Amino acid sequence: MNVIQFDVGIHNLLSDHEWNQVIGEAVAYALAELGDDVYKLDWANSLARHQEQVKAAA
Amino acid sequence: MAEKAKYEFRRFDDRSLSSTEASWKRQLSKHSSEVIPTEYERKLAWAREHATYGKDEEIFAYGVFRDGGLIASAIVDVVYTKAGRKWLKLLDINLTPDLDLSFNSDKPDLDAIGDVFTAAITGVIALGAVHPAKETKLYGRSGTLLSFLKGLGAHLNGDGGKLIRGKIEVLMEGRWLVFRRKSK
Repeated sequence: MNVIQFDVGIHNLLSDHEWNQVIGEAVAYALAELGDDVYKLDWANSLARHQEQVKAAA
Repeated sequence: MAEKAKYEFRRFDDRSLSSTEASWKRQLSKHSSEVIPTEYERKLAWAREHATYGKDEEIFAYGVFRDGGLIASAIVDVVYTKAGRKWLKLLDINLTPDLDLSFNSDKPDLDAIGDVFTAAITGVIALGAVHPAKETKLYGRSGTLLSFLKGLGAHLNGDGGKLIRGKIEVLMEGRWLVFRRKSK
């Protein structure tokens, strides 16, 4: 049986580590998109560097 | 290779407020030809006004701090509504003048901006442990932040959403990026 806990916030559905992983990776992609959108710079390098840092921190 | 900076989302206190005010004003004077300082000064005053975290408060100023320091790299506007349906909202991420103005250059400091955004967003989500809410909403106040949130949402709805799939729905509602707990 599924029990719905109305007082449980979304934070409690993942561990802190999982949240950091999920958001950290998504941020790297969002930055690339932002760069693509606005700046037309060499985002690939920045994205790759950021992804490496996210992996290292995970 | 230099060690990677660590950014932390936390409350302001008197010391960090004073250090942040002094640093941001120094940065503004450095950029005096590029910027009108009023907006940043208003945000600093707002942070001082809302750096109280009592249980009756609904509007909070949080900072994103680098390497355990006292100078905020961003002031984050957070709202938690207690009456009726409970919401936890991030209304804005106000970057330090140096980072904010790097957008006007050929070389915005993307690594730092990404880390600050990550700390702010994960920090607000973590506040859900203190302020339980079925939804956490992030507002794209500026065009830049809106583009960023759209990119974040798109990735979380694709390959990046494996960990949250089935538990949390991620969607754009106007300028809001919404994290909503799925009902079973």
